[in-house]
Amino acid sequence: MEMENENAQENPSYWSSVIIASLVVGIVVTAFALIGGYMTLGTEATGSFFSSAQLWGTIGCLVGAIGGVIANWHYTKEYNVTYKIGKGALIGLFVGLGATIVAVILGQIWNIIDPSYQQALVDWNIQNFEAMQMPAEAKEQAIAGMEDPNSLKNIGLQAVFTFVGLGIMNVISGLVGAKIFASEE
Amino acid sequence: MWGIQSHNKELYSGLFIATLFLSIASMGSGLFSDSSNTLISWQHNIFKVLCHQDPARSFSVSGIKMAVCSRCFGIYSALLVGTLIMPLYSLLSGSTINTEKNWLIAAILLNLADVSGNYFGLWTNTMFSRFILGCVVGLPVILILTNDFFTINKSE
Repeated sequence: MEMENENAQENPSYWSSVIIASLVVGIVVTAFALIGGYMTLGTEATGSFFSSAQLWGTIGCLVGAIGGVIANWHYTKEYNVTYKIGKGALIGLFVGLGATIVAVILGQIWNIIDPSYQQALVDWNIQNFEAMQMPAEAKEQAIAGMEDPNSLKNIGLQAVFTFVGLGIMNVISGLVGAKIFASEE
Repeated sequence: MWGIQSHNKELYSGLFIATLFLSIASMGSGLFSDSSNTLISWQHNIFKVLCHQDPARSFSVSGIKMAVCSRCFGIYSALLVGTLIMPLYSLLSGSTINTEKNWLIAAILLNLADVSGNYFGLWTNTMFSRFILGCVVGLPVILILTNDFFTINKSE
């Protein structure tokens, strides 16, 4: 029992830091995606690959990539501990996973709040694809790939893609975060 | 006698694989000559939450726009190059991380200034200038880790 207490003092749990960083990253990434989505719906589908509304994502993305730094900063600030960068990477990986889960859950909650949002965005994108100057076969494939965003398969696939992106970037930022904040140097 | 001593080999290998994957994936579907579904490719989906993916601000591979903008491509390619040159860089770097830390802060400020200047019409940045500025951020991010993977072994 005493040893357990000593161990807990030496290695305090990092889960609160992981949860906080995951929430920050998940909420901000989702919020910016929604803002960008609604701004896109407010524009005309002109066949352009990119709408100015998507620029919103650039700010959200910055937070998405630094979740590992946020978690490591919070963990070291909270417990005043030093540790190796491998632990920082692990914390970053958990943040990537947590942020993905938060983003998926918030996305589904938003589907309940505004059930027409996803379908409206798909319709807008289909219109946009149709206005694009690209081969008919490519157009059909692109449109087919956009159908039914709320199917379990598409939600799962998008979650996997999001986790790969957020996971890798947050592992790297976790390494850097541990190096800056938790290093004994 | 001088020698480079390596540490945390498994972690370094993982970092190399991760940065290699990021660099390859960021080049988009053009690298695999998959011209039919640029916007629904797996590469595009991976970077959806990490980059604005503006085709007007992205390089092309085989005539197909990359999955990320030129600045992000600069960051990802610099992460890979930085991982590869880490052993050599350890010969130049000191024992503290202050140089890389200051370099990183300066690079972030430089990018913010570039984005702001371009936004307010003070100047117009180019695809290449954004790529270079992305590289300037990516390199210190990864080189800050050098001492954890490689150190100089000096023995008489």
